[in-house]
Amino acid sequence: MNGPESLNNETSCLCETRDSHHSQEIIDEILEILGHLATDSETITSLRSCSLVSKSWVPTCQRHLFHTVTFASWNIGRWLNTFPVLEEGPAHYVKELSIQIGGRFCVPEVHFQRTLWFGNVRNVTLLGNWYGRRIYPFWRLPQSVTSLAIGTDVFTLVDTRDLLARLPNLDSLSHWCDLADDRAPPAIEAVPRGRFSGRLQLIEGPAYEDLTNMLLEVPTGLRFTEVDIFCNHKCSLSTVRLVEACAKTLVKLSYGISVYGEPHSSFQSDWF
Amino acid sequence: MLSSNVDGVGGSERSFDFSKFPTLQEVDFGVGWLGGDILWIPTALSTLKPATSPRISAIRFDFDSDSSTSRSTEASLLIDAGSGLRWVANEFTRIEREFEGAVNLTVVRNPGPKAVFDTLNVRFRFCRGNGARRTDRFTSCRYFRITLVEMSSADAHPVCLFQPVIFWR
Repeated sequence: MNGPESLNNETSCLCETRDSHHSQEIIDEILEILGHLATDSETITSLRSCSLVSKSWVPTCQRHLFHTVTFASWNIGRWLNTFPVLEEGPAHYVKELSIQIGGRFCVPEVHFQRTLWFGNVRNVTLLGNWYGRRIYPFWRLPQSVTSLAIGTDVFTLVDTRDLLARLPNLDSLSHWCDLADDRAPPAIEAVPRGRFSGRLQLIEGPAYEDLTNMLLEVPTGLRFTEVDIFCNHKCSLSTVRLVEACAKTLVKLSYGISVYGEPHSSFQSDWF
Repeated sequence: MLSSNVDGVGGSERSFDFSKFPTLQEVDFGVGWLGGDILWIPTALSTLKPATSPRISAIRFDFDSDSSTSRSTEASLLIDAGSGLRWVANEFTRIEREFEGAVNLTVVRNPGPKAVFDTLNVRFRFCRGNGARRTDRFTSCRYFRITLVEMSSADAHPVCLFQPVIFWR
């Protein structure tokens, strides 16, 4: 077999002989290969077709079809209509979840609690601009999350701290937006308790000092192996403190700087 | 203790002391502007020593002046940036020598208009080795990559493979 075309032919053959002597292990292996190649629409369509062949083909196909899911206002209803029962849906196959929690395409807040359905999700990206409402009380993300990217300004510093405090397995953190106004912080503030041993990406802005200070207060310490910093001007004291807090574990340091606040090209492709 | 030997105006600028980073393998600096003080970058590079950074294997310096030259071409700013770049070049030469070619040094440079580039008059002199093309000024290209990718065990000198990656943007 060489490439998706061969695989598509192979799966077509299998479709014709669904009751034949092919063992489930072989079929699963073929579907796994097809799933790993499912980067173009044609292959994804093939995978969808395969999922309709037999019930025994469904789990392997769904594991790849629902590996990455993006929720916004225009598609959340479709998911709920298709999979109204949690146990029968493919939520547990989702490894990467992106949610629009602000802006024009914001997912309705009533659906936020449903993020707990995705009990095996690893990477979560939160997107959307401030649209006049604070998301409170903040919902919880599954504790399985190891990588969190925050590209939204709907959170206050307290919200962010609270969010991190609920993610004990968090390894990597990306934050590239401002923070919402924090006018009424609670008396008792949560303490981030992730592992913080993966990758840290921060972009300097109005929230930068607060975020770095929050991370420096992590009681278990920072063990990031990779740090990406993008600053608008000079190398600040906060940045040096943050990077040096990871000195014993740091493997890769990337530092972008632009006096005009426009991310350097080598960072743009990775960050945005 | 923080490195503070580049304390500039206001005393808020610092640099990294890489002697405190024993596990460091890669360093990547991207400078997306032209003008101002980038002396903290060569200051940080100056702390990279074989004894304290035994695992370092790659250093990348990406200088993209193209996006800002139309807005900032004041001579004083150019001189500041130029002196920083010269120091970066010197540090690369030192790193190449002290690490005996074991570090992959990459410079990606988008010099922008030729006039600006001439003003900077920066030379990176680490392109050498058997059969390699030696060029230290590239005014005709808008984007280049110089990569030391292989070290010859025979003569213990790094063999420089010059890669003129040119993007006409």
